[in-house]
Parts: sequence; C-alpha cells; structure tokens
Amino acid sequence: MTKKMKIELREEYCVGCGLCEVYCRVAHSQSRDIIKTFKKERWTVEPRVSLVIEKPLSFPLQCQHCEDAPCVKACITGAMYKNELELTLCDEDKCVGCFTCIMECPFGAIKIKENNPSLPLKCDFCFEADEPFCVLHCPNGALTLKEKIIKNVDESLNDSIAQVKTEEVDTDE
Amino acid sequence: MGFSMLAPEFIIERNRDRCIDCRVCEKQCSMEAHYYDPDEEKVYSREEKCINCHRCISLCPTRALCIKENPQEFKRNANWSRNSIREIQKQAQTGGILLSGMGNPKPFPIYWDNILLNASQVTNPSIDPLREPMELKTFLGRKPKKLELNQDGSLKTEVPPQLELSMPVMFTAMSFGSISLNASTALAMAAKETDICYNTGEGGLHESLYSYGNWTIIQVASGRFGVYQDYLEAGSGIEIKIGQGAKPGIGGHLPGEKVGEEVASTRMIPKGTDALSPAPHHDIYSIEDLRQLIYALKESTRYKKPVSVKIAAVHNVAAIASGIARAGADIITIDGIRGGTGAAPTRIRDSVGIPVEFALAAVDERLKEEGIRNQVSVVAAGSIRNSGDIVKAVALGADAVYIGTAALVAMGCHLCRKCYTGKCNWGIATQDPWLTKRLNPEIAAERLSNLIIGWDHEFKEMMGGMGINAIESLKGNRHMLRGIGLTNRELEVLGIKLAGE
Amino acid sequence: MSKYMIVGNSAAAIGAIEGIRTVDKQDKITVISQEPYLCYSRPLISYFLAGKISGEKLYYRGKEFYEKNKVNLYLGSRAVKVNSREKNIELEDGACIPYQKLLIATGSRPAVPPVKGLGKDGQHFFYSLSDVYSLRDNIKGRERAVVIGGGLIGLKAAEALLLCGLKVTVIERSPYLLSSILNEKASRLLEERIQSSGIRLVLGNSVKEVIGDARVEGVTLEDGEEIDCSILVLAAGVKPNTEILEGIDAAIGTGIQVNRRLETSLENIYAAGDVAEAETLLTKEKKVIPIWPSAYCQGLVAGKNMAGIDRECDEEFPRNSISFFGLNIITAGLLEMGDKGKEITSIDSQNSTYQRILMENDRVTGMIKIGEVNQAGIITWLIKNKVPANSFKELLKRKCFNPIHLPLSVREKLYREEGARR
Repeated sequence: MTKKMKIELREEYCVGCGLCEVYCRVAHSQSRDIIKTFKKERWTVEPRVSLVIEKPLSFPLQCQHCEDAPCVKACITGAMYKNELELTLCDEDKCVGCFTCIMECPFGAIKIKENNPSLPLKCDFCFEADEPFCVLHCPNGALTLKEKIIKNVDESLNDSIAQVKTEEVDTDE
Repeated sequence: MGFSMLAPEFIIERNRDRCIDCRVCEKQCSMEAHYYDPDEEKVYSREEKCINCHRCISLCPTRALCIKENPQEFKRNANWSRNSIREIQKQAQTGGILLSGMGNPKPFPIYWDNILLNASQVTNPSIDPLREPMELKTFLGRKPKKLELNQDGSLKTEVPPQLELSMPVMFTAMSFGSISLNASTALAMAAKETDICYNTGEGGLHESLYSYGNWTIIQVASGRFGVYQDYLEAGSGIEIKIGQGAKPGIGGHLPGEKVGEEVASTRMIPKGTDALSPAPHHDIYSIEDLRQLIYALKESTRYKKPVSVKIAAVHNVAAIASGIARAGADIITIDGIRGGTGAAPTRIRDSVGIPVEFALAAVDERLKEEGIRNQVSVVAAGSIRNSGDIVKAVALGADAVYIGTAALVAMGCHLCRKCYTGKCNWGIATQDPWLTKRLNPEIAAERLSNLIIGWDHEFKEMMGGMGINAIESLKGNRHMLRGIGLTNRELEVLGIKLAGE
Repeated sequence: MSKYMIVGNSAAAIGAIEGIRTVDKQDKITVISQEPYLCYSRPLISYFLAGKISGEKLYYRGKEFYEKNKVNLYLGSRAVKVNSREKNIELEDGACIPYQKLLIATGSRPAVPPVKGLGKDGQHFFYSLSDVYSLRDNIKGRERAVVIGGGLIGLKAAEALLLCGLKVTVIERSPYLLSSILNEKASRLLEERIQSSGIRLVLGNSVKEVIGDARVEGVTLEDGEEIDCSILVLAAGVKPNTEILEGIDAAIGTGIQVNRRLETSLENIYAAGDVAEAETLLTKEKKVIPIWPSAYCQGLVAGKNMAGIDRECDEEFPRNSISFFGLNIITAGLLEMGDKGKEITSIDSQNSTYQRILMENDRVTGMIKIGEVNQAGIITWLIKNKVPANSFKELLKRKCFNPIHLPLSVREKLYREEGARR
C-alpha cells in the first residue's frame, strides 16, 4: 500500500471565483509575488488548472494524478511519467508537443500552452509542495487535500496477498 | 424617462497599482457591479449597482478595492437628510413601497450600552471561571410552583417539558426561503455542536434537517407553512409566531421567484407561488383562540414539548405577555424593534414597536407582580449583539436570548441590507443555486460554533466577575445592573438604579 | 535460458517488459531487436530530421532501462522463424534461442507501392531511424523532393523535408488528404494550411513511374504530368511483419490474431502492437490498429499475462493526435456512421477550427477536432466507455465540451472510476 496526497474537489462548494487559477500562476512564477506575477510575468506564466463555468455549476479542471494514468501510457516520448510520490509529471525536455496526452486525458486536465504552443500544461502539484496553492487559497473549501491509500501498481505484491488468503482458508478446514 | 435622479450610493475605489485584473471581483459580484473590458484587458466598475456587500473586497487577492459612501453631498439640511431625499426620489421613480432588509438602523439609543454591570470587590469575591465550575445550563419551559419529593428522595412533582440549552442563547427564527438551505443547515449543525437550539422560522423544516430535531424549535406561523404531524413531532419545542419585531402587526411575503423546488416542497405550496403569511392567524382573534391553538399543539404532541409564543415588543407588551402566560404558553419570546428581517416595509420596520430592553423589563416585572413568573420562560430577541448584551438581558429578567443578525454576520453577512433582492452575495438570503454554493455549511457552522464558544467564555468571565457561578443567580437580578445616561423614567421602567446609587 | 522472449524493441516490447516486471522481478527477459538502436519513439523521426530534437530525445526510456529491468538485449539481430514445438526462435545467423513465453512485437514495415522504376539512388522509406539517417545524408545539396502518400507518415515526412529547405510535392491517391481518419471538410482545412506553407499537393493522382538511371531524377504521374525531383520518399502504407509465424498453424489475418489477453492461437506465444490484430471496440471486427498508445497498452497486458496473471486488454479503437505547421488535429473512433447515425458539427472558419462528432444509438462513435483540440480526451472517454449521450448531445456542439457538461451521475462516475482505475 502506498499513501499519497490527492486534491479532492467538491464541486458543490466551488463558487467560481477563479482564485485557483490566479494562485496557480503565482506558484509557477519567478517572483512568487502576486502583483509582480500579473504585472510583469503575465505573458509567461499560465495557470495549470482551468475553471469551467456553466451556471449554476463551476469547478476547476485539474489533473487527477491518476494511479493508472492514460496520458503516461500513451505518451510517445516517455515525457509523461509518475514520480516516487505517485504524481504525474511532464518532463518538458523530452516532450515534443504531439498532444497524445490531451487525446487521452478524460478530465480535460491538460491544455496547450498559449504562449509556447508546442507544450502541454498541467497541474504538477506545485512542484511537489506540501500544500498546493490552489488548495491553500480556495475560499470555500471546494479544494482540499486528502490522504489516499492506493493499491500498489506492483501486481506481484497483490497476488502474494491473494495467495496467503487461499492458504488460510485451506488450513481452516 | 431616460435618466435617474438617484446618484450611486457608493463609490468603488480601485487601486490600479494593486489591481491585477484577475477578474475575481467581476466573477463574484451578483449585482454585476464589476465588468471586464476585453479590449483594454482591464476590470472596471459600475458604481450604481454596488450595494457594498464586501464580497469583492473579501476575495480580492491583492486588497485593491475599497468601497466608500458616495461623498456626493446635498446642501446641508438638518431636516431633509440625504436618506429622506433619496427615499422620495425612489418612490417617485417606482411608485412602490420602500422595502428594507435587516433591522432598524435608525440612531436612537441602544439601551444595552447604557446599562452597566457589577463586579465583586472585597466582599462576595469573584469566581475564576478557569478554576471553578460555572453553570450556564438553561432550561426553558413552565416551572412548577413548588417541588415535592418522595420518601426515597426521588421527584414527586411532574415537571412540564423543558428545552435544555448549554447556554442561554439560541439561533432565532429565519425561514428556509428567506435564507438558503445551506444557511439553515449551518445553523442546525452549529446548534447541535454547541448543544443549543435553532428555530426553523415559518418556512417549515426541510427533510435533510430532521436529523437535527433534538436541537430544533419548529415554528407555526400565520401561514402554517409546512405544518403537519411529522413536523410537529420533529422538533424539541414548538413556537407559535404571532408577531416579529421588525414588522409588528403585518404579515410576511416571500415572492414567487424565491419559491423554488425545495422551498415549495418544504412549505407545501406550489412552486413559484408567492408565500403570503397573513397578519393575524386567521383562527386567532382572541386570547381564548390562542389558548385553543396552544393546547391543540400540546395535545397533538402528547404534552411532550414546550410550546412558545413569539410576539413583537409593542406598547402593551406586559399585559399581552400576562395573557399569553395564562393561556398556557410555556415560553414567551419578545422581539424588539431592532429585530432583523429578510424584507419589511421600511416605515414599519423603523417606526413600529419598542426596544426589547424596555419590553423585557416590563414583562418580567408584570409577571413577577402577578405571581406567575414561574409559568413561562421569557426569551428576548431584537439585536443582541454580543455577550455583554446577553448578560444584561438575563439580569433584566430573560431566561435566554435569540440571536439573528449576529448569527448571520458570523456566517458572512456584511449587512448590506439588500436581502429582499434575493441576490445575497454571501449565499445566505438567496435561493439562487449559483449563490447559495458560497455558503459552505461546514465552514459556516464552524464560525457559528466559534461565536457561541467565545461568548460562552466571556459570559462566564463576566458572571464570575460578579461573584456568581450559576445563571440562576443572575436571572432577573436587577441589582447587578446600573444605568448611565438614562432619564429617571427610563431607569424606573427598566427597574434599575442609576450608576453610583 | 530466459523465461521471457520478446521479438521486437518498440512500444509493445517496452510495455511488455514493464508489464512483466510488475509481476515478476526476477526472471530474465531477452529482447531480439532487428534495429540496432535502443528503443526509440518512431513518431519522432520526422522531428529528428527537421532538427527539432536532438538524438538524445529520441529514446523512449533511458539508457539504463534495459539493465535496470534485467533485459538481455540483442541489437541488430533479426529473428526469422519461430519453432513452436521446440519452443525456440531462429535468428538470421542460424542461432536458436529457447523461450518459455514468447511475445511477437515485430511491428510493421512500409508497403511498396505499385510503381515502375523503383530502387534508384535517392529513394527512401520513412519508417525507421536508419531511413532517416540515410535520408539526412542524402538531402544535402538537393532541391526537390516528392513524397508518395498523403497519409500520416507521408505528410510528416513532407513537413520535415520542407523544414530542411527542400521544395516538396506530395502525391496522394485519394481525393483528399488523411482520408483514413478525416472527412473531406476537415481535410480541406488541413489542405489549406499545408498549401500555405509551400508544399504542393497533388490529389486524386498517383505515380506511375520513377524517371532516372541510377539516381532518381523525377516521377511521372498517371495523368502524364512529370515532376522533377532528386529525393523520393515512399510513404504508401504499412504491412504487419507476420512472416515470423509462417509455416506454423497460427491464426493470421492482416496481422497476427490475438484474444483479449494478447494470446495468439499458439500456446505460450503472444503478440502485441502493430503486428497484432485484435477485436476492436466499435465495430467488433478484428483489426490492426497501428498507433503508439495501443501498442504500449497491449504490450503491458501481454507482459502481465506472460508473467502468469490474468489480465484483459481494453478493446482498441483508432485515434490519432498530430499537428502540421501548427494546426493541431485529434481524431478518435469511426469515420463513417450507419443509417441511424447523427452528425454534430461546429465550424469556426475564422480560427480554422472544425469539430465533428458522430453519434449512433445514443453513443458517441467518432470525433474529429481540428484547430481547437483542448479537452478532446473527454470525447475519447465517451467513445471508449460507450457512455449514453442523448441527454447531453446538444452540448456536444460546444468546442469546449468538458466534464461540466456531463450529467452529474456521469461526471461522478468519471471522477470516481478513472482516477482510481487500475
């Protein structure tokens, strides 16, 4: 079993303010200062979450860092990968911007950078920080951090547990 | 006519050095007072639409906004104030009655602030609430004249049903329909968390809130919305609403636009119809009729729940209260002129009724004089703003108080007083699902609980300071109060001495 | 002897290695690779030719991949035959290597078009890294190139050659480009973009003969037109490399037929990738779907089955994501619809944006998105999971269709299942 942090979305509390997008930019800026980010870095830093609104609904489209990520399996260069914390990340040096990941992502969480059209943009958990900025600044508790226990991708571990179970049943008899 | 004489009430100051044109203010304002110009790529404001609710200010990530009263001045006139002039301009434009939300804002004296508390010095020493047990637990209901015990020490006298509160505060009646379901849920959750009660108001009880029944007082108002057997069984107390401090003598009106699916099914009226509460209960035309209703409710709940009667504080409130006590009520709620509302005609809200401080003192005095004070618990309402007001109210004779506006402010209300528009930017006084999302019941309930907990500590500090460790010793204890800045007559009616005496 | 043997060293092979290693960390894996390179991403060769990426970026996994995963790698070794009874494979040099579990991941090879005069100097396929290395040397100082085939490979080759400074002509037999994945309307948008880049397109025509002695000097088309060129690229389709199973009684259609566990009709022999023919999602017929994501997923599941646990692969369906000269194209599912089908189109000619969604029997069956491709994956998901879509089909017109437009129950299913999927 592995533990990982996951951003949980409760769409019934999203008020459609867009602060997640605002602070996502700050988190990925050079200056890390909100006013400088927007005044000086406006054209170079884009948000990695997309707020969608269809009143009365609204919520941010955001990478779910899936355990069995379709984008990682489909990536033709191997640029999309899972790190030790089970986060899905994109190695921009390897990426050629074919956007097969966009074709595969069922959450619409990956978008094409507007100012450098060749690369995909998606949530990176704020560089593996303790608390991503979107969660920290959501004013109504729509985004929260949850600890999640995920099944091991390692099949052999699961199967060995299955084996043990069978043995126990036999001895019971 | 193509123009309005009404200049904007507020101006919006946007500090361009701090504004990052992030559009959060634009996205959040339900009055559309901010807008984004895609050509300029900047956010601008339409000040005539601003209602000063502070939503944009609270969410602005760079604190770039400031809203001020429009300094636009009329020629100085002590008689014709700016408000008086604007009100006439409004009515000339629309021909309608002026509506207001929330309580009376007029500047006549706040009597709580003219009442001072005692403290122990030397004799009858203070009690430290951090070291000694302090009893704030309150029981609301009819108390027997005397208690008889059996041989083995068990209680022989049958005590009528009581409402048990951890401290003498409850959340007042705010109907689902005037406030959102999220707001009602937050009140219910906080009442449960802090072990007090909340009142459903005249909108009935939504099915999702039945699980909070132990902390609920259900209300039977003149429109009888949502009243049926399960409803009566659901709460731990029942309240008959005769009147409300903000609008004594008239009924209520919830416009059809606010009566959506959930509101309609909870009130048991067709969706989209206006919910009209008539001024009198049309089956209560005398005190005997009231007695009949009280006992009908008691019968149908098998005498297991205390029945309360809520009246507005009006001129003969003491006599009325005496009548109500004799009619069989277990609790009487008195709602003063400062009481809040979702919508009331401005003139009635500002001119009709009397302050709860006087009403409370008069009722408590009269019931004591008539020797029937034990028959009812008296609850005071109508702008209880802080724990100091609660202590004073209890000392003046209240068994408990209701808070309304204070609870809403705790949840996020900024008293912009536009509740009647149904566009409450904080998700409280609205049914628009886009807006009601803004009130996260978990967060709001926590804020309400925090308020109650804070007040609980302050109450104990003040009580301990007086050398009292049980609320029973504070109740009706006018000796603990002194008046200041009050006339002799005012002191007389309140039944308190002047500071120094 | 290693327990696992993989013939092939591309997407399916890497998928299989990773699949095996989630179960079995110990037993050695042998990989027989015809090409003399570590696994590289085949779609990247056009970027490589155009100079957009350097050699390092070509490799799909790092250099340490094989060692880390205990793989014996035979580079530049061609396997010619499988001896299924003896359970070994025969290499070109005669060596026989035994196996317990075998995966055929030999992929496909470029097809040879029916043209006279092939085989001259200056003619290249555009399929492997070797093709591109020799092409790169050959185009120095050359001016004109002709590409036979206006499919995915042909157009990518043409784009790369243009970026290398050549004048390029593309000859396509169908009346419009990419006719296997685009409809005419969408294709014309692409046509516009390609033509404005300077490439000449000849549609509805084909090459009859190659002109020249030892070197390519030009081509003659069916209609008689002659086009000068000194570089000729053949990109007229691919054929799966099924020959390795010839002579044995294996079920072979266009490709090697496999079931959902990627097992062939022969015991202990699996197939995955461009060489495999599996039941497809939408029409249920068995087809080869030669796309990278499919190859990797098939390899992954084949590997797990080879290692002893029972897993089934999702049924595949065609889908592609490519861009030409900045115009992004994403397609998925079917190109045609049946009689009961419906077409939902939205065009924005100002922004060269086109979207076409096909629906049949309450399900989305096909998608073409040109220009605006953000959030295409949600439609792919609708196709893949056969989600009933009548209740929101009006909203499918939106270019920005995304999870907010789904009914709440569908959206909850999406977030609950996809994020946690194994």
